[in-house]
Amino acid sequence: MGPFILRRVAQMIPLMIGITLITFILANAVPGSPLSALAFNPTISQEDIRRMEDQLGLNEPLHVRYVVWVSNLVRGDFGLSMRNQRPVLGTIMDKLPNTLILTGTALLMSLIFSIPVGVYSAVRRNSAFDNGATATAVAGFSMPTFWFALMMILIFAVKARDWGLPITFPAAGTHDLRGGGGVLDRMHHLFLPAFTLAFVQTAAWTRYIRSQMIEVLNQDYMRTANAKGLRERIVIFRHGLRNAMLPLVTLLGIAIPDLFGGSLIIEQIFTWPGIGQLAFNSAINKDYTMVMGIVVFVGFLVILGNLIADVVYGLLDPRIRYD
Amino acid sequence: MSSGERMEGASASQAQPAASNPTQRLTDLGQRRTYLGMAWRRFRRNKLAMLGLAVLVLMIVFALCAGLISQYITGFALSDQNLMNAYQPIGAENHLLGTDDVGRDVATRLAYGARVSLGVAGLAVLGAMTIGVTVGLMAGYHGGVIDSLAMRFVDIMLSIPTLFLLLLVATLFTLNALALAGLIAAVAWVTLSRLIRGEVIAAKNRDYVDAARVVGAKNTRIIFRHILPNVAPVVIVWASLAVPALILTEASLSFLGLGIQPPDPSWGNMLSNAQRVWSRSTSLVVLPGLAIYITVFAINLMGNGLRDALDPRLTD
Repeated sequence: MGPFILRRVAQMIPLMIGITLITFILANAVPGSPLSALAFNPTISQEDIRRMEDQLGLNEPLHVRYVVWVSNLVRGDFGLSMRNQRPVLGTIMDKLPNTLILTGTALLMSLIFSIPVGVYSAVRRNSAFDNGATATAVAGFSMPTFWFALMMILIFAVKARDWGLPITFPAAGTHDLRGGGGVLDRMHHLFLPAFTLAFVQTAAWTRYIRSQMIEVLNQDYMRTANAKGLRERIVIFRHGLRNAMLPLVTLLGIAIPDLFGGSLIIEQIFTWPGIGQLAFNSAINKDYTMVMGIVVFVGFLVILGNLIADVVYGLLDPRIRYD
Repeated sequence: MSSGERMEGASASQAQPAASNPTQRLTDLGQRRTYLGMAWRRFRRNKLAMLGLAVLVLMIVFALCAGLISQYITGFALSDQNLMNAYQPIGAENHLLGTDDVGRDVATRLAYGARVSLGVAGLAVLGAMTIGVTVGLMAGYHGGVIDSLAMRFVDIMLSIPTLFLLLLVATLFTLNALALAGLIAAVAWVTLSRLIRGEVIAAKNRDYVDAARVVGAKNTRIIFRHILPNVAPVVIVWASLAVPALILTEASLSFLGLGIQPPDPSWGNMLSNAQRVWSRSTSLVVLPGLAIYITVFAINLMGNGLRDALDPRLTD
């Protein structure tokens, strides 16, 4: 296991270099300098701009700037936001917990729903239930996230009040700004964005779990378990589900990019102060250093997630040997 | 097999009473059983997939005829504004689907929006197919350094969430429809190339490839005449499922204000425009999203049917 982890960590390095390289090349493909916005500012003289260029190292050749940027990244120095001069990494870290809470809750919600549905679909393959679940899954992942979010707000935050429904949900923020902030209040605010994010993911998870389960159901040990006369519930859950859940760990690693991508839109619509909203606002404000920092950071999280998933998979499944 | 074909077979045998009937009918069946014929027969049996195909065709007609619709049906041009006539509800006089915040006809704009949404997604898929198939064929067939480099690059691209990468590029450049399609294609080809690579590696060790090489076929001939046709179903299925995904990508970007810029309508930017004024009109928010949803849903149904029909192995 030790050498395997070392080798996997070593594989991360070229990936990280690649991500920084792509980000850097894209950011530098823009015509003009980051300071060109200042060129027409009457209070800033040409000399000042030249001095700023020197200070920022903009006159160095590209490869030197790349090396400086990357070696700063490695030391945890993501630079300063071009918008408000605050450290990029610190700002990301401030927002990260909100995004993790949102995506984590959404993931939990979709697993709670999709595991039973996926298992039942696989066990009763081609039944009315299975066909219904398949059709619903297609309906689910065809849904445009942003539109679904707007419809959720329209129904549960706007119309529910008009219709006099007993349950309404807030459509923005993480907690009530009028002195709220208790756990219940936060959960109340979390529900709508998390549900929306979960809804779109659930369809894909249901399909994954169904196909994993079908594969496991065809294994020899399942027939053995049945032949021994074990009750169906024990066969399905103890022998089947436990084995079907193993590849799920890897899929969790693969799902991280989708979760972050989905949360970008959800955070924007529900004004949820996470990394997605930060990325979007920085993009609108042309805050290059922030956007570059976020892309590199999220890329790093994804790679790290995949690494952890691989290692955990190896720990869970003794059949996997790493030589 | 449908009753129609059985009747057809019966009438054929009646027309040629002289031929020895059973054998004749067997060869008839054999001749008609081409791969595509069988795939089409399997596809046609899938009612949901046929429904999806029908809806897609309608949407394409709707998009292609946007000019005609504007001229003859709604009677309004794309950007005809009338502030006195804003926020008309669905079914209003002269405006079948109502008007938006500056009194533009929603039905007309939806038709032009369909053109953008389907066009950008279609172009992006074509572009992604070209790159993905080329890279996949090269990496899978030649292996070695080309393969390692290509697949490491794919790994890198897969590590950055697509939307964040698109966000980065959209921050840096202002894009027109064509550039947007190119950008989406530049991100979307990676999954296909990995898929193709796997298929090619499996295919290149088959006997027919060895046989082709034995008779002296060159690499290009083997790749394009022998391997490509065998991975074609994978490409078609990928494309049919990528179109809806990329429609959603384009719509997301336009919704975020980073894709198609107003006043050009796309379903995504119509939705974000409506979001600002939705206290005045609910239908403005519902309609563009519904158009996206119906289209994506239809193509996904069709894609699933296509996958089952073209290659039963691909079904999970």
